[in-house]
Amino acid sequence: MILAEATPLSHHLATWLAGLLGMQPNWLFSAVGALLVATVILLIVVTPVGLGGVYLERKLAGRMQNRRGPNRVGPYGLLQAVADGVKLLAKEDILQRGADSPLFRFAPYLVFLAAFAGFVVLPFAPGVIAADLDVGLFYFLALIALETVGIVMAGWSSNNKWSLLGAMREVAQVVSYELPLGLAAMCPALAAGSLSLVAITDYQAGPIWNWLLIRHGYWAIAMVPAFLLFYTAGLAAAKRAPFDLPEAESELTAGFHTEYSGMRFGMFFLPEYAMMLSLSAVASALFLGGYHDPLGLSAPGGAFEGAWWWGFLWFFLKTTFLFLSQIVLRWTLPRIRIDQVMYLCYKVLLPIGMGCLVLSAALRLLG
Amino acid sequence: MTTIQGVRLDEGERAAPTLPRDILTEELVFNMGPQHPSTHGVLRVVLRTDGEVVREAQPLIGNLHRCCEKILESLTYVQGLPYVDRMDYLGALNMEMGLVLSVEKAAAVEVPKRAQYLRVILCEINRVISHLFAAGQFGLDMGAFTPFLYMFREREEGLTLLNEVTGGRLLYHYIRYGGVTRDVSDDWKRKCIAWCDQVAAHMDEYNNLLTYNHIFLNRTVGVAIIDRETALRYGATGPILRAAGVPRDLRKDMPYSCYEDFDFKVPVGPHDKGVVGDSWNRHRQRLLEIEESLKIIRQAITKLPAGDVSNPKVTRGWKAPEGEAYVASEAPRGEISCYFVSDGGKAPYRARMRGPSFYNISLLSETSRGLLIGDLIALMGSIDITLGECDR
Amino acid sequence: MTPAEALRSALPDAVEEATDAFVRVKAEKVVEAARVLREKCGAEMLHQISGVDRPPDKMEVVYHFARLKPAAFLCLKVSVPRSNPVVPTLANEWASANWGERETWDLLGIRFSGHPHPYRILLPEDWEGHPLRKDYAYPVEYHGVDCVE
Repeated sequence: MILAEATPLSHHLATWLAGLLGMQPNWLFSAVGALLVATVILLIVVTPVGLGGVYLERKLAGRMQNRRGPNRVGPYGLLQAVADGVKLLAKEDILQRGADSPLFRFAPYLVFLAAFAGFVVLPFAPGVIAADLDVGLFYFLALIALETVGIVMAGWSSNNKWSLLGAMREVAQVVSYELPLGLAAMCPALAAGSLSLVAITDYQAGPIWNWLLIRHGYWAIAMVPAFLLFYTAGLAAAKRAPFDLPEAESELTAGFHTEYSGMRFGMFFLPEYAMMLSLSAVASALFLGGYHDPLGLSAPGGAFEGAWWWGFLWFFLKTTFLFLSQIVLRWTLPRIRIDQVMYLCYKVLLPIGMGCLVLSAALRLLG
Repeated sequence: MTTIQGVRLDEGERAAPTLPRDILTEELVFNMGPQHPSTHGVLRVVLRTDGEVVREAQPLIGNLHRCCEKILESLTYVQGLPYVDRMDYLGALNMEMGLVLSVEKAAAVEVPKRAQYLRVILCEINRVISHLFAAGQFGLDMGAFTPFLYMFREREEGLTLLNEVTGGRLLYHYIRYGGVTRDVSDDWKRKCIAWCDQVAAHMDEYNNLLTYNHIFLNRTVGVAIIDRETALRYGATGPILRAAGVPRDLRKDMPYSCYEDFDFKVPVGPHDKGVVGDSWNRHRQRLLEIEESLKIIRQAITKLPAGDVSNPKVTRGWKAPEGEAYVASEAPRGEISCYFVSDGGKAPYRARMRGPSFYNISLLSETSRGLLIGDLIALMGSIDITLGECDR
Repeated sequence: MTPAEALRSALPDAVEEATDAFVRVKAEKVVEAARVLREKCGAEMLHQISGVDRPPDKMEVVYHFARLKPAAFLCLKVSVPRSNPVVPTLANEWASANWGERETWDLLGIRFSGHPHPYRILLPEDWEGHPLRKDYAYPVEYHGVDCVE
């Protein structure tokens, strides 16, 4: 079965479960096994994203703004995110009278799903990946589009014109920026000759000059603009400042999630950090060598080849660096107006993306 | 697409397109309600938009009406003074000047020179902190969180200074008929000059981070232009009028309280980027006025004459004799004046206060036609309104 | 030219009283008087409109115009009978009169004929009475909320 082949771990789990019940492992056990593995990985991932991401952002924002950030709850405010989670769970769940209730309730789950489902294709370390799909990159980009559906549902079903406005802006922005995002992501895919994130990462195995961003042989001419393009379009797709119009606090109160309270709001809040993190992770996998270190020790023949802890350390460092840079950008720059956002996408980034793609194709053809 | 002084203006994209009839969409009518992060108070704006383009914006005021004028007619002169503080709570000392100057002119009350200088010093400190707030708030409306907090850092020290002299951080009750309540110490004067140096040193930081930021320029240059004619027609005064190119500043044109003793310039638009009267110019205007106010404070502290700080003839039960007067002064948001009429009674007969924001908001409906909602926010943030003085 | 001279020469029979501080004109001629101030005396901005209640039989509307250079305030006063206070509106020529006159109607009850939008501005639309009048009776309750202290 495809599921079993994709993850040997889930196959073992399926066989074990079947043996427990005295039955033959069939598709049902494979499905359950795969689900269990994905759930465990997500739990391992959601907790640090939720706790760590929120804490990092608030502390870094505070320090940038000449203040301390959270420092009351727990030592150095480390338990602040836990306190926030408890607060969100304890809040009253307000369901608007005129709101379209099924859509209203379902929208956060769709957004949550889309954001966290992207984590199954992230290559955390050599051999540590939930599902090494052949079309991993494509799957990841498609999920961003899925998130849009959830947000439009939220904006529409809130029965609030401001939410609708925020949702409409969001659709325009995210769907438009998928184009440069995809084009920029295609360049490493062209270079590596595969859409699988593990294959692209392993193409960059070796010392730092194997990384696609600064690769030898003229690749950098296409890769540097492609990386900047991916990063910028990723910021817009994640709705982070300076592209945070859909949830522009000072204009739309809270945009599409104005009417959501309590944990429903938490379901919108967490995926934002998840998107930031997964985009940083994909950017590091595509351009910065993923779980490979700059010294080439995890390449075939190196001292730490296949060492999962070494790879995870480097993956963590690169992802965190990009994550922190997104936070710094948010608290530095003002917001771009929606028509300027559209102008930037279609008239600036899209031509650059096409140029990078053509360059990458040419470089690939010429060897 | 035009380019003005190095910044591109996308005017063409914002003009309303002519669409064929079968794909015309409905217009949205909604409320930028009394509770909104960008309306700077309880202002309600009813918007009729075609998507993002505002077709009509009608401001509805009155949510903060506290019957200030009726109260001034019911209480004695000294009792009524704290109520004018609460008009523009961000520039409260200037509000006090508005009432006190008219009453003093009608009653021909003498104010000692030291008191006049102290009034100037504290009103200018108040102007600086009010402009810091306004500029930071404008950045916040545009999405830049950090400059707001940096400006609050300077504002905090200014509030401490005012607190030391007057006893209040936001509302002061310091300026009374015939003078002020308390004197300042030499230590305070030294701290005040140190604060002026600190603010001046940080102006570069604000300009680099916010004023000349490319995204901010794109958001505010050429946006929501209030030109000279519009401003004069609607009675808009203060930074709006000066950014529109009119060199009117009551501290120079009709000096009061010894302002003629000080040497300062009046910045007038257009400034180095943008079109005259656009949102960027209004923002830059406020930052330049901060620098001029710092000059005034330094001069006033150095030249502070000795003497009394109040007129001993004005006691608690003081009544103004029969008469009337109209004196206007320059508050941070525009010109405040009071048409004061007295019939010799224990309370003013009529104390009609002019809050600058009342007239500044009235031009919202005309100026906002054809703007995007993001530009409407830029307009409201750059006009810098305070509902307290609008509704009184 | 001072306002008194300009108004006396342009509208001689409209001027009721003229001092250094103000000129009182007849209510019907206030629009023309404002025009004279704009053309002859350089008034560019209508700075403030105040209403004053003068019981038992009069009400005043006081207009202050601002001249930019040299800076000065030009004052125009209009007296109307308290039983039927009607003044022609300046809102069609001076845009700042729009809201100023609405406020005077709201708080004092002076009607401005020809005003494009003669509704209350500070008080709620269903408020009864004009609070700044000297004989205003405070309401006992408003929409079920007790108003008496």
